[in-house]
Amino acid sequence: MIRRSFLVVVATAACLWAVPPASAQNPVPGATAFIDTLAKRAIEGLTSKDIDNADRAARFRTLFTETFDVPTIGRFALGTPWRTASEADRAEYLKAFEDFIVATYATRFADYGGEAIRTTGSRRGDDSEVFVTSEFVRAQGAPVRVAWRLRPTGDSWRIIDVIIEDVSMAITQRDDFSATIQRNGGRLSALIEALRSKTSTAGKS
Amino acid sequence: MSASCTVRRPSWLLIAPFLAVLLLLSPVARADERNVAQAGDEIWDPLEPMNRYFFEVNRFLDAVALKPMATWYGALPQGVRTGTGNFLGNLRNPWTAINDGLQGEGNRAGTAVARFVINTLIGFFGVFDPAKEMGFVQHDEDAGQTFARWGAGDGPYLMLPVFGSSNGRDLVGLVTDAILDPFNLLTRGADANWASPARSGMTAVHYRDANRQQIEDVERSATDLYATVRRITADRRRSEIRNADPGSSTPSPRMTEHEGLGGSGPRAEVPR
Repeated sequence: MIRRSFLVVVATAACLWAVPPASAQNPVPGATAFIDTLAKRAIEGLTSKDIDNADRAARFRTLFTETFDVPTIGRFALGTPWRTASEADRAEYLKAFEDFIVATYATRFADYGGEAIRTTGSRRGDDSEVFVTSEFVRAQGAPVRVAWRLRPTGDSWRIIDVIIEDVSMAITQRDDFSATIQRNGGRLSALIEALRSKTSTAGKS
Repeated sequence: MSASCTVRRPSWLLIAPFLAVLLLLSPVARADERNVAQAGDEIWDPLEPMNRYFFEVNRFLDAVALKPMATWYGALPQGVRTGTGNFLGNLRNPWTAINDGLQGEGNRAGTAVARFVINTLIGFFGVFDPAKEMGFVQHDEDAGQTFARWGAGDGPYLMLPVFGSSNGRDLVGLVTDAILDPFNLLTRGADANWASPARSGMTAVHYRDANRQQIEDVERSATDLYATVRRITADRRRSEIRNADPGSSTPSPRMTEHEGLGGSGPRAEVPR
């Protein structure tokens, strides 16, 4: 009994200790609205069970190329081999990269189970870039923190990175691509082949 | 089994002064956190060939043991799996609280203590999570994170057989956890030497099931699975060490086309 009441005292003390979280900041509401709109368009346009995979992939490609800066992401993910690649190789790589993203992510919207992106605020980065912070809310488990790195383009925004629980997709992709190139004698063509092979296997699932 | 009886008493005697030293050092040794790697920084992997070998060993072990067990476990009702996760999480709370304390994180230590007390007393030994409803959300700390907060760098990236992604510092942390985690101390003291491996095994199966979709996604999208797993696990770890402190933990490598413009990240800008 003594031990039990001691534990209650400790718990009460711990309760009093806790501090409420700081309220979220949102200095760039336009950027937050951009992500809200993207999430709404993705759920409305891509998650329907009535469309086939080809249709879903086509819709995903439109949304992806409209809202993401694919050339910048692709160039960053490739890293130094970009410098020495010919114009034709660069174009071929960017095409393979875009197809690969479309194939690996589009089908994921088919098994949509009510998850939602809830924006929580924004933060200014360098070079007029903006990070929109959000939570990916799932049926099970804690919400996943997702940050969207945006760059202004005239009247709107383009996404240049998605950072999930502090893991940058751009950096992860860059590590992955450079390992594949390195392990194939430094050949860019080996990466393009690997991307195409991933594209065709992902499309089948 | 007989060896454990002889080890039992001295282990307590050895551990007490060690803990005391850790407690004494902690306020003095709070690190200059600029030395601690952030998510997105380079990963030092001098033992890559060995690591890749163990990665394949682990992939094999996953295919023949962990994944089948997790698939079986995944067929249990969601309530059973949630309860198992809560129970395993509650067992981690005491060691989390101690490590929060050693890191000078009073509020977080309080949260871990409150969670342990509330969930053990009115959450049926941790199977339910009433503490969460009261605003105390689960978080985990371990010795590797504490060493990092005291200034220990990552050391070389390591792919450990069975235990998976790690590094030099976290390997020392893993051994420290095994020795000093109150759960391990108590179960060793009670000669229940099965308890610690059983808990580790259950934790592995629970997380393999909980992350099934994410693992499939990574397998499907990686052209070099080892390099991708290395980046994801190393950066998740760095983020956990910083307690996901917003602002300091979001990696932002330079992605500008023009050299010298902006960017605070450690990586090179997009090449022209």
